Amino acid sequence: MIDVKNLTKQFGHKAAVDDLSFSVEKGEVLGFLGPNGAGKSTTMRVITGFLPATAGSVEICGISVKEHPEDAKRKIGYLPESAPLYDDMTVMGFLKFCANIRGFKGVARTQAIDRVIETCFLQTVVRQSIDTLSKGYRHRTCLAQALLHDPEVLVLDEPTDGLDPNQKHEVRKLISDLGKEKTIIFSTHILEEVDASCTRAMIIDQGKIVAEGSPESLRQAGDGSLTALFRKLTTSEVAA
Amino acid sequence: MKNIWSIFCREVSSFFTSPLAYVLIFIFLVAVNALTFLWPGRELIESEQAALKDYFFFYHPWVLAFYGPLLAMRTLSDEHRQGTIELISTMPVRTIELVFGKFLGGFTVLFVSLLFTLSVVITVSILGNPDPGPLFAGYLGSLLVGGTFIAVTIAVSALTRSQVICVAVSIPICLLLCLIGFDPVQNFFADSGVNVLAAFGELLASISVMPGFTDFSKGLVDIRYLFYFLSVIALCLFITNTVLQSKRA
Ligand SMILES: Nc1ncnc2c1ncn2[C@@H]1O[C@H](COP(=O)(O)OP(=O)(O)OP(=O)(O)O)[C@@H](O)[C@H]1O
Ligand SMILES: [Mg+2]
Repeated sequence: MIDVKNLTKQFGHKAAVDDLSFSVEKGEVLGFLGPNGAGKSTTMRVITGFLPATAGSVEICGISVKEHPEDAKRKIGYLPESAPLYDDMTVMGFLKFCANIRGFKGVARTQAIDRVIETCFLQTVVRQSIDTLSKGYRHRTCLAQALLHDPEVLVLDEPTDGLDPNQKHEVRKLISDLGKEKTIIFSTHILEEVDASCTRAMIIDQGKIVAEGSPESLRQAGDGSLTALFRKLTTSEVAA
Repeated sequence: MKNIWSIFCREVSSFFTSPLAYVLIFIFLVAVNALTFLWPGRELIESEQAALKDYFFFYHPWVLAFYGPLLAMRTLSDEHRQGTIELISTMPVRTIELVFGKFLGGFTVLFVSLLFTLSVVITVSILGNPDPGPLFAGYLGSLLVGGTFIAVTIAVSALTRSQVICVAVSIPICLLLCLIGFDPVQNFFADSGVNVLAAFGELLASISVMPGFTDFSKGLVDIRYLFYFLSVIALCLFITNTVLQSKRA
């Protein structure tokens, strides 16, 4: 589970994340919505221990990210926003490297890699050099890396970005399947994905939560449409 | 330990998958050979004296001041440019393991490059008869100077995502580390007759890689100089570690 308490992250004087508190339990899939620059990626970077928090705390399965970063990171699978990869490696070489870092050896390593190659549909590109991959395959390779160690907590920053409609469908299905036994938080700009995979959704704007609840309750608040609610809650801030 | 090993392996294999690596090694070897045999140490071959110290090792710090930064420039700049620093920092790896693994990778490439220069030594051995002791010590000196330059470059590469800026800053630093201990410069300070300048010269010499290197190339392995090189390397890696950790704050 993820437990975020009074999290604030400032860049200079600007607060990208402003006193945010929420928690995600095991078996929950939290959809993280918000306009560009709302602070979604920043929140995820603090949760995964990439950025230190200015104030507040984050706990992963009861482990403080600040106090025990290595232990917390072992529990997390993270797909960063831009799907960064080592361009000079092959897909297989990259996954082997990640598996080594995740502490896999021998047969277990081969099995873990085979498993994620299958879940992320990478069979056709395993021997290909990463710098020649298409955007969608890059994204899937990075997603594969996040799933390697079968983590309890998944933090996915726009996991369906750049994927074709078939793959979008597969990834949504994967998220809802995995969500039954794991704790997942994922960000997206595609509001239908909230219905497709989330048990709960949260809209943030300027680092603050503006709406939170089950997909149904949010839709009701927006008079039947998530888009309407999103526009109502977030465009007013931009105009101001 | 295991993490350092994984990072080290990735670093070395990534170096050797890039075509630039072979161009670099080639230029390095051409430079070392040319300086030894063509200019201005031609007497080396004619005199048949195995004066490796004066004609071979003599140029090493200067060549390494270019080669070290060029081979290490990608280490952290690339991680920042590709964004993979976010990936590796969110895996259960400590920053110091990352830095150390990367340093060892660069150091190993340097070691391999220096092995190739043994061709010069073999040529000289056929002509003359070099002492194995000073030869070994000289190579140790080159490795330590090169390692220092790699560590300096890694520290600089933590600060920028541009490889060009990284080499443009590192090469002058490395050249300066050679120059301030170079005999003509040291003589200038020593002969100036001004106490303050002489003291300043001594201070510069204690920072420079040159006094240590010169001793090593004569076959003198002084434990204090060994300590000097290792502490400069440790200091640079420590700075890198601190920069990486504070950069994200
Ligand atoms: N390293 C940084 N330095 C300064 N400001 C930053 C930094 N990273 C993010 N910000 C700022 O923090 C705010 C939140 O950015 P963030 O990337 O979290 O937004 P987001 O919700 O993920 O947006 P998007 O939907 O475009 O991905 C933005 O205003 C951004 O400019
Ligand atoms: Mg984002």
